[in-house]
Amino acid sequence: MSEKLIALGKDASLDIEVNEGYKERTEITFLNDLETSFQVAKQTEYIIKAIKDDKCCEIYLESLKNPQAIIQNILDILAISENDNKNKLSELSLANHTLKEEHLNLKQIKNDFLSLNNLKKQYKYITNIESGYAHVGAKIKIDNSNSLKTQDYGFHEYMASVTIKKDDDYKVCYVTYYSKEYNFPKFLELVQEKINNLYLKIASVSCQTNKYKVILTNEAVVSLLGTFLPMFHSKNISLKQSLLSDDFQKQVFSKKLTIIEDPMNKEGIITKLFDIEGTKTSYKELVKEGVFKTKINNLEYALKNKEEATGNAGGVCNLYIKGGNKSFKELIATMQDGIVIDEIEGLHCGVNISSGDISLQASGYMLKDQKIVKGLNLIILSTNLKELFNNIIEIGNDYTASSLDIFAPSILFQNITIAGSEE
Amino acid sequence: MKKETIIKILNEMLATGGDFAESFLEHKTTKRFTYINNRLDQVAYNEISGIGLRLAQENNMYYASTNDLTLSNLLNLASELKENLTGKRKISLKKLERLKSYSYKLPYQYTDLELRDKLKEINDLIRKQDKRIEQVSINLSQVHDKVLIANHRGLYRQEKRIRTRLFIQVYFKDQEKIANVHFSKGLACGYELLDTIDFPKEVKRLLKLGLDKLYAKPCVGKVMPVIIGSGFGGVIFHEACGHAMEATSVADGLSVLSGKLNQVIASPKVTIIDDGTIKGAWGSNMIDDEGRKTQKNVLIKDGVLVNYLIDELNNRKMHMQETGSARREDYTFAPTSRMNNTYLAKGTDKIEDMIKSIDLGLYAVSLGGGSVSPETGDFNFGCDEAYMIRGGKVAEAVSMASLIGNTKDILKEVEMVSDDLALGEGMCGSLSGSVPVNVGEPTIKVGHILVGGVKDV
Repeated sequence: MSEKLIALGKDASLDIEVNEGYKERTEITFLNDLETSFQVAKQTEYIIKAIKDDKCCEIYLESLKNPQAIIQNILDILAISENDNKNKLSELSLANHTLKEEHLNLKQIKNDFLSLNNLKKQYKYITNIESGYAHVGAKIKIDNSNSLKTQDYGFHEYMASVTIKKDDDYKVCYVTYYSKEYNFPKFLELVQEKINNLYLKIASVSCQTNKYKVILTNEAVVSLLGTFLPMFHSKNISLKQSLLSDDFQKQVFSKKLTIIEDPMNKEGIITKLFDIEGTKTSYKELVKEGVFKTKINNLEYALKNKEEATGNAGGVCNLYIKGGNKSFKELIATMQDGIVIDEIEGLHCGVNISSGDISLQASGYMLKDQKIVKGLNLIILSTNLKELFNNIIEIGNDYTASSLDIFAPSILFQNITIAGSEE
Repeated sequence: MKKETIIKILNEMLATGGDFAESFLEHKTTKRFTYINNRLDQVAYNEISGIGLRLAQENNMYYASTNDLTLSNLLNLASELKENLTGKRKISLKKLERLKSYSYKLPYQYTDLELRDKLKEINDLIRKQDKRIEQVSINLSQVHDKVLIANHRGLYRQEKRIRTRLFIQVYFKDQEKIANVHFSKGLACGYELLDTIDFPKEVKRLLKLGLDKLYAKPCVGKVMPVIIGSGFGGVIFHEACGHAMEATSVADGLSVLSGKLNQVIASPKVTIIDDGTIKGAWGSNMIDDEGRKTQKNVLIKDGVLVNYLIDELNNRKMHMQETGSARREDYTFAPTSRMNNTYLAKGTDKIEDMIKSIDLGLYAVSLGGGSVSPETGDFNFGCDEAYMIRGGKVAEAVSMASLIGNTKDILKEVEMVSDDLALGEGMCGSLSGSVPVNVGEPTIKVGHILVGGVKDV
């Protein structure tokens, strides 16, 4: 199919590249001691990139059955587009295969997840446990007649939300975990850890609006970092839509902060040798000791700005904050008095990625002399990303596997405003 | 796809004792124009075409989706679903009813070139307003969505849906200060959407808002009375109680509003309606994604919870009539109960009286998005445009104010409701994906709510 489209493109003076992706997902969900759904998805998708006379466009399709119509659609789009940024097709032929032919033992998986219901014996305030398991396998092929790239990967995904109730007070926690090999015991350990934390929040209250020492747990840091990632994109910087538009090669954050992307890191859940445009990925430091060192570039903006494409079309892979030496417990010991925030909500509306402002619903607990004095709920993390990352006291070493692409340890900050309803 | 093929697939699914089978065939195209940096930067085109197959037995659901529409692949998927059950056939489908079709009739369509000129005109109009405007980004998108739904009872219906949305973002900069503001309008119609907008008026409003935000002061972080403006401000009810009234969470006892039917859960000033039938509204459909006609559902009447939003499978657990509320992002998602156009009915209070009644508070003229946990009722919203109220008067603009609270508290704290009901559109994400919805309300006064700012004062 793709060969025919590429050939037809040549006749119309179009250079065409076809990115073909195939994804299979098998998912089972549970509520307490019941299996509630079983879902299978099998999908093929195509991203067609076309270049003619310095103009480029991309279209997304699920079928190549009508190549003539596809070519005409591309020509119509190019006829009205005014973007004459240079672009190009990928060059090297590459291959990266990590997907294993796996026979899923669905019976075992179902038994494992239904066994979560036994946690109710251990934790008497649990009212509901919703959980889910999914296996994802993906294959990618990029073909432009001059080069061919293939890549595949697979992973296991685990989810749970646990609701507890004491008197009229409901609390809920969410657990997400990914692994290369099926690893239910590790997931169970994480669920128990989360329930223990949830118990600390029973009858939780608010706090006074004030500046505090704050530890953001690894999951909270991952959420924030993921939300603000577009600030590193060359396109957003060029279009003046980034918080870091005027900060390239400048000291913008604390010297303690280094942010690295290592797409082929074998310890990652998945590895990527090339991005969706076929550009080879590479190890890079986005931020080195607080200095903004590397912009994330796709081909269009690399060529426009006369920079190197960084293999990040379509996102990042194995991006992480460089860890320090201290465990979570040691961070608490360093903090002594302060607030631990382990959940933040509303990231799609409570942050401004252009200005860096952050105003987010949060929950966690307050410590005095390293001891928990009260659980905190409905408090607000009120800061700015630059302020936050310039107030780092210590970075921990406790990485989480709650995300596929981004990893971070917990971080201790100083002078961070937390708004609360306590007088 | 031929009727006979659908019948064959549904019957294959039902072979092992399933008591519900459904197919959802979809073809959807999306075209998006992005005008930025004084030029038509990108025209994106997206086309999907596939089928979702749903099988159920009692309260268990099995779902498969694919875009390989060959008969052999579909029969394989049907087999994969039926293998989850081990019983004998209980029902079979003999024939589908005569196809019922629903569609929106386009009055006319702009050509792509006319659209490019129109976007340039809007861009130029905005940029000439003030030299502190650093960037203008205009997105115009249109979705054509054709769905064909069939089920084991013989239901056979299709709808051709169309939605168009304009989204403008304006970035302001003055030395170190930066702010961005947006305008958005979306309707279930074609590009004639553009003719319904008074651009000079909206651009003036964006300019005032942008400059107010550019020099806004940090918001005071504390509990205070809050006035929430009409239109998209209704997102507070969408988040605070709308999601908690969806059968998805109610049926399994996972919602803070489970088991509260016919109980007083809100101030008597609160009547909440979800209406999927409003002509041309962003969240409207003629049929839902199970093929039922959409309808107007009163959910809270004068403070009393009177109904939930119910779909076919949750009806089995709740024994309540379906409300035409089953929705999904596309064929890859199984449908479940979702909101369409949800709003607070208008009252009789005056906005001037609300402002006068507050010594220290917040006037949140427009809200951004928000989110809620249906299990606990805890919610949060970001304010797009907000001013402090001091001594009964609107005072300085404030930045990054968030409103945080709990469903059961805020519903009882609605003290005043005005008569300026308006709707605002958005995308709502939940179990069955991201779907277009309207939220709405008249201006209201809430007695107490925790407001979070960028810094304390």
